[in-house]
Amino acid sequence: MSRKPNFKELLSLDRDKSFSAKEKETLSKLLASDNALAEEQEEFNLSLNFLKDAAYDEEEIKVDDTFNGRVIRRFRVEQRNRSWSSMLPAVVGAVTAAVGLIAIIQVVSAPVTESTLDLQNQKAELETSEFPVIPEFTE
Amino acid sequence: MSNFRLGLTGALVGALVVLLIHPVTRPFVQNGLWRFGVSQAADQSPTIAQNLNVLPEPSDLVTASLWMSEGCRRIKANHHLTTNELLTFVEIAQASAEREPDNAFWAHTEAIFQQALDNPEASVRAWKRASKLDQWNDYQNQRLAQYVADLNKEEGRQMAWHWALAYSVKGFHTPALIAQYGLTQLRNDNSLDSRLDLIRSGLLVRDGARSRLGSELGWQMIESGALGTSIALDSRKEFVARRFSFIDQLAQANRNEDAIYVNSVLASNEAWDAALKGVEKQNRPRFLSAQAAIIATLPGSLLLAALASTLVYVLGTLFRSVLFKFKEGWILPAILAAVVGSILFFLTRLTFPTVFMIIVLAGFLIRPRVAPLDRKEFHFDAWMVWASAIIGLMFLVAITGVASFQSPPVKTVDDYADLGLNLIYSRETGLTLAVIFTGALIGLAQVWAYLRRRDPYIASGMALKSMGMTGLVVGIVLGVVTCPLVIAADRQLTDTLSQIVQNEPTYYLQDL
Repeated sequence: MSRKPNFKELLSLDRDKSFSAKEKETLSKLLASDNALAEEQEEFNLSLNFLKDAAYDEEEIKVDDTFNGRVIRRFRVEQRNRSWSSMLPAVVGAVTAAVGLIAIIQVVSAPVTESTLDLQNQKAELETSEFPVIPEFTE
Repeated sequence: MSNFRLGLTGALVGALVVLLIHPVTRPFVQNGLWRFGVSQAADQSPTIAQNLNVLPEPSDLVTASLWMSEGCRRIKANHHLTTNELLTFVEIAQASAEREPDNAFWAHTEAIFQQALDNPEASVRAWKRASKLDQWNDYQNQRLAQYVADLNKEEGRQMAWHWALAYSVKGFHTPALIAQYGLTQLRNDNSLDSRLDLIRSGLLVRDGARSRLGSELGWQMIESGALGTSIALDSRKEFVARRFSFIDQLAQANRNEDAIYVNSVLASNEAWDAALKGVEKQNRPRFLSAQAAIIATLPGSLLLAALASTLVYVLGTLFRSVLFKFKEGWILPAILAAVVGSILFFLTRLTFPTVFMIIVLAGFLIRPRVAPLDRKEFHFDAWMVWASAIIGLMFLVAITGVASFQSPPVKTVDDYADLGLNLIYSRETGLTLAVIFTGALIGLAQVWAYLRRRDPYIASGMALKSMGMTGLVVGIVLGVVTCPLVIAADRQLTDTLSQIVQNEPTYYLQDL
């Protein structure tokens, strides 16, 4: 549910955008019903005019013929920089993952340590197949 | 797209690039992603006699052993050998024995070929000569090492499934024929000398065959020599009594050295029996082979399944963004059923899933009264979101299975070792499941659309997109994550299977 604007906000809005017929009618009714509000509107308009005068008192800024072109070029460069920087997380992610994966692969693919056991010539015999001789003891 | 998502997408792309380029990971990615069918190297390597049209000139002992092995294989298979061919085998055996006089393998094979030539005296002479020697090497390990090298060259890296394949092509014809010959000799001549010759030859085969089955044949020869018969005895008591009576007979004949020798051999045979016989050991190489073949295909298969999920996502986008515009009438469902049905049948050649999908697409003929507001923008109920994700995962598993089982490691090992993997999960089974899962989700979305008065094309499109996205993300993430794990597991399996191929009995004894 939207908030009902107060009088000052209405005045400001009146300057910023064109009101609909209904909104204009509401504003007129408010001004007609209350003198204080009418005065407030007058003060508001006065302040705004001061501000406008202050802004336009300066000498007119002179720009050369290439100004528009430079502005457009600057805009394009900034746009391109923005698009590159927006891709930065993807680039960082790609590089990090690639480096990390290569490191893991290096670790897991290290050659298995060669067994010192000579499988080719080993015989399939248990060492316990021979029993030691039991000595005879004499007193 | 948020920074997190951008970073995650970039990480997946970066990881994928590494997987495809890195020489270590590439073999694990290519199997299941773009390499399918039986390995060419396995079918063409000249180190296996079955792959040869003509046996190579026996200029070295390894090639000569290939001749001996091939001759024994033909005799074992009752393949007719001409006299000239048998004479050639005998000449090669004799020539090799001259070059390597300590190796009993040449004399044993000569005895077999002389017997096939019907030269009993020469055959027995060779047999007795063999029993006096102290080495037995059939050079199979050297040939298998070359076979594995050929497979490595094709793949670009040594992998565990190469050793699994080497184990499956390991032949036992020569020890089998030697055992058969020895037992026949025992029936013809039951003297102490003949039994002793059989025990000596049995010991050579048991310790030299370097395979559990070959060694078991040697073990059998020793036991038969001690018992004096090849017939299995029912009574354990009689078995023990006859076994040791042979030692007594040797002692009574004043052949104490022979008696001590036989006693020692029988003791080692008992140890061999305790250590190497058992069902678990029989199945272990088969289990390890299946494991080696499947893991070699896992990352590539998952990535292919992720690609297939992308196609589902694209199909969903088509439904969601295009097809809903042509909603009225029967023409669109008919065209859709005809086109999708034809493509499916062309790709799979399977009738049942094609008909199932056509029936599901015909379901678009039943149109709900679509609510006028929010016709295009709506959200699924939670159960529909979960159903799409779960079916996406099931689709991923189904396609991963197809890709894995059709890739060279699984297909070749399964063909050569006769593991029966194709019976468990065939290409037809996997594709049928994948189509049924997709069709079921479209059907589910149609029902949901009917119940909620939404557009069924949009609902189906949303469901397919969700399913495809789940499969795509999970497939790529798992493909990337499993790759290092698979490499580590493959390294361990390579070590184990290479030991089993090179000397199976020693491997089991180490494992005690």
